[in-house]
Amino acid sequence: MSSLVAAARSDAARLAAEGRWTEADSAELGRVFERSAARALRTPRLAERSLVLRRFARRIVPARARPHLRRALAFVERPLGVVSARRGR
Amino acid sequence: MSATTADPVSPARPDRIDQVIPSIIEHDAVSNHTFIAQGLLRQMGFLSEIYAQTIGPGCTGRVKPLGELPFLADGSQWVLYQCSIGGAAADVVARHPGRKLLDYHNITPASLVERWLPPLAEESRLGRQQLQMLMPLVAFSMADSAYNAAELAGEGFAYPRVVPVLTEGRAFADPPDPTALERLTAARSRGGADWLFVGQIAPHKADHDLIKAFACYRRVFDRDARLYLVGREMGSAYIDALRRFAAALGLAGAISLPGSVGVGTLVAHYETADVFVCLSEHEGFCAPIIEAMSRGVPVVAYAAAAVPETVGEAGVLLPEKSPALVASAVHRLLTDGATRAGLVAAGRSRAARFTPEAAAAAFQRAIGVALAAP
Repeated sequence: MSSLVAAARSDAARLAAEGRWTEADSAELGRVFERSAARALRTPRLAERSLVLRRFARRIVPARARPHLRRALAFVERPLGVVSARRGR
Repeated sequence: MSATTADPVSPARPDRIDQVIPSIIEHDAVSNHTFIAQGLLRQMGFLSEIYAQTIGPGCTGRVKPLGELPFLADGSQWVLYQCSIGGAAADVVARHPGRKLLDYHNITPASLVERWLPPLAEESRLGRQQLQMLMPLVAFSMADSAYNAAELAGEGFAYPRVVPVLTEGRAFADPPDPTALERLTAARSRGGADWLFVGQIAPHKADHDLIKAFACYRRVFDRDARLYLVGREMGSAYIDALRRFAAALGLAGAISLPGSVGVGTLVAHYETADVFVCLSEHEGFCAPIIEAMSRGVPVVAYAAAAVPETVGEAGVLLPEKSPALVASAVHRLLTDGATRAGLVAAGRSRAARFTPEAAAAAFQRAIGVALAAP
């Protein structure tokens, strides 16, 4: 598929030459995303603290009490949109 | 050989091979792999349970809390550690008296998630440190791609074996959910191409780069195109940023984030997609690429981490992912019938090499090698 990639490169260069999609357009997308990211990152600090609490608590709470801890933290974290899983589609 | 020199002797066959995993949850490749591995170990005659530090919804009853892992010191119990992140699970495995096996699914580099979820970045760094801790303790290691195996070898693990991700193959064979199919088909009837990516909504999957490329594609080539980002979100901040980004670009109606979906809905997405686009910065394998190929969806992907190995010659691999290049590659692919047909055929052929049966046989062979290893 290297021929398709080469052709796509030529297409991208032509788009830039014709002013249909330039580096400036890509840079503007980057700026818009950064603004979106900055706003989104203001809100989840509480959620992050909750995750830190979970990890800390896991270390100090006896194993037999952990199911209760897990349920309590899940109850707290659900409205914050925190997910316990680190993977998964 | 001298009669006084002892030959390396294989350890006695254990009664049980238990698995330990940091977290387990539905709709997740590593978790599915672990469940299927349990079945295969039992099929080989071993007792086998799964012990996890975090047990997600849908897994309760099938998985035991890590604290209940037996510590049998008589050689009758081995432990297979499914490694994809750091945590207490690795410490428990390290302390366990039984023979230790490791199955490596890669650990997302901390730098890719640091900004969005610092605790996760911390766990990623911990995971890398724990790999070094486990290296001298592990008798046998395997990984689900050559890329992951090379990382293990780089950490000092001897001869890690490549064993493909275990799947039930449901995304290959199940029928689509009729309701989802009807909804997606109705959207298609309004014209425009359907882009699809399947995977956790997470910064290292670079969904934001997908939105950038899609924005370019909509403006330059196809004003009616749609983008589906199918997967569970990792934390709330990143997906919030993606939604704000899509709205700021005026694309909120063209980009769907349906969250985690069942197999039938997933298949409906594969059935209706025109192209599968993956711009991830990091993948240890990327099973959805193979699923898309098996469903006849051509793949365009950024050549990062294990992605080139997974795609092989059966997809378009991009050396960089500027919006114009990605959009142009997708446009070329969708407007050149012969190229598209060739890629679809190549994709189906490649996917056929990753059948559930082949992966299961490879896993059982690997366990056989581990049993014979001194």
